[in-house]
Amino acid sequence: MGKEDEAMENVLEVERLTKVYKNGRGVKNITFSIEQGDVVGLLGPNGSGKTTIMKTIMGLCHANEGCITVFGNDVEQDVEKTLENVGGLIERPAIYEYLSARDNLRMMARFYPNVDEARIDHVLDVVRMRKYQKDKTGKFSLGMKQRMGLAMAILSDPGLIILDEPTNGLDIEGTVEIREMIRKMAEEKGTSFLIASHLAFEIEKTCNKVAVVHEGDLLAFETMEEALRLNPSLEDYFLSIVKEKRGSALI
Amino acid sequence: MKTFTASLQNELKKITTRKKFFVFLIIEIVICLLSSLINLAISKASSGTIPTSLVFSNMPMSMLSFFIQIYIPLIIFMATCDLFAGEVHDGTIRATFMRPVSRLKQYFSKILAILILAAVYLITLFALTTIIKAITAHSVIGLGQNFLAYSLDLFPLIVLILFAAMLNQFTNSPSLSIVICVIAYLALWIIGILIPIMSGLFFTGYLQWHNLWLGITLPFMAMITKMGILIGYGMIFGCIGYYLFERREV
Repeated sequence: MGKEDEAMENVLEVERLTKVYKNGRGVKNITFSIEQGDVVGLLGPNGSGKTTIMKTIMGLCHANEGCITVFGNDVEQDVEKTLENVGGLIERPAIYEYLSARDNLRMMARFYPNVDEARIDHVLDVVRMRKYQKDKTGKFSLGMKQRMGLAMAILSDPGLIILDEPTNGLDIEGTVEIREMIRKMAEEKGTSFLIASHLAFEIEKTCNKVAVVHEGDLLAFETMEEALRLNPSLEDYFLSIVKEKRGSALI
Repeated sequence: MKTFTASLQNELKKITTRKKFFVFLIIEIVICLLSSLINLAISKASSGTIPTSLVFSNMPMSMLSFFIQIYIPLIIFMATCDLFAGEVHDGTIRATFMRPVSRLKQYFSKILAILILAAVYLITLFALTTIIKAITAHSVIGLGQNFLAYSLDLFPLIVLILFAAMLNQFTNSPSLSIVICVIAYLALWIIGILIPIMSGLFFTGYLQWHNLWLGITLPFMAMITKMGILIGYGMIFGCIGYYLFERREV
């Protein structure tokens, strides 16, 4: 199989990605790929580089080195084409607080020919925000804003969805609903997800693959099954991987 | 083109949703009406020595002079800071950066939206002053020439918008950004007045360039030179601003 065919099969290909900020922080030499229907969890402590990886995939940051392709399109070469089939929620929801929930979605819908008023209704139902659709988003609680951010991410029904701490600010019910939504979309539609979290149990419950990021390095990329084969929980897996890295660094 | 139109519609929606631009439009109308009342009072006080028709005959042009140099530039700076530095500051710029639309289209759709806003202010001013003149002076003489003057003055406004947009790329704070825009504009304007020879080198000296076009003679060579200067400034500001916007990380 040629390299081109391989890239076509993968929804996302990250190759030797390096992004270093002026303060010296960032990520180095990151390589991984996501297949259709995969729910990949980026697990790592705060400041490990999870958000940087996501921002670079979404074209919010420019890579120093390396290459990122989404559905075969290079992010740096043609961001417009690349983002046609990608949705995302990075850090905090990017919503216009002086507009209503529905108007926020309408503004984003203009960029997609397949998104109509019926789709907006459906998305508002999915995130349980239909009854607040006419309210200004500036008055929303953190959890409601997070739901709006998720609505904007899934609005165009993209093939790849990138979520940075998606359950941030959500209550227990909301967290379970979002987890269920992700599972359903991955199984029924084959939507791929890249989800970042510093909470191991969150990744364990939601994802089928895990990538461990620590101090800007990708330490491991495994299926959840493999990660839990020799470890009682993902937390133990994460600690063993980090310990292993520290040990090898000392040697 | 579809994504550019979508982006432009969004930028216009953002501008029209902000009440302040509507309030400033009303203030513009109030200033015109107050000015008319003062002129009318002067005419009445002079007991016919200064006829009403004479007082109001040049109203569209005298109002244009004030609004094009002071009022509309301030509106432009506010709108530019809202759509550029303001969006970076509150993180909403990501909402469009994560959509399938290139930054080139985003940048110039914002510029065009601000130009449309400035045009609305100019059209309102033109319509209002022309109506006042027609009612008080019972004349619409010079209507075509006035319309041409208003239309011509849109051209240097494009350069001003590109200048403000470029300055907005250097900071993430909307308040700092508006201060920088105002100080830079005032500095260029004052230097142009204090050192007249420098006025021709700054784009701020061309905000009333309709005077050049509507004179008795058409100084063809001077017009070509000044047009070249304006286009040159526009290209420089546009290129630098877009480059910084394209490389911006949020």
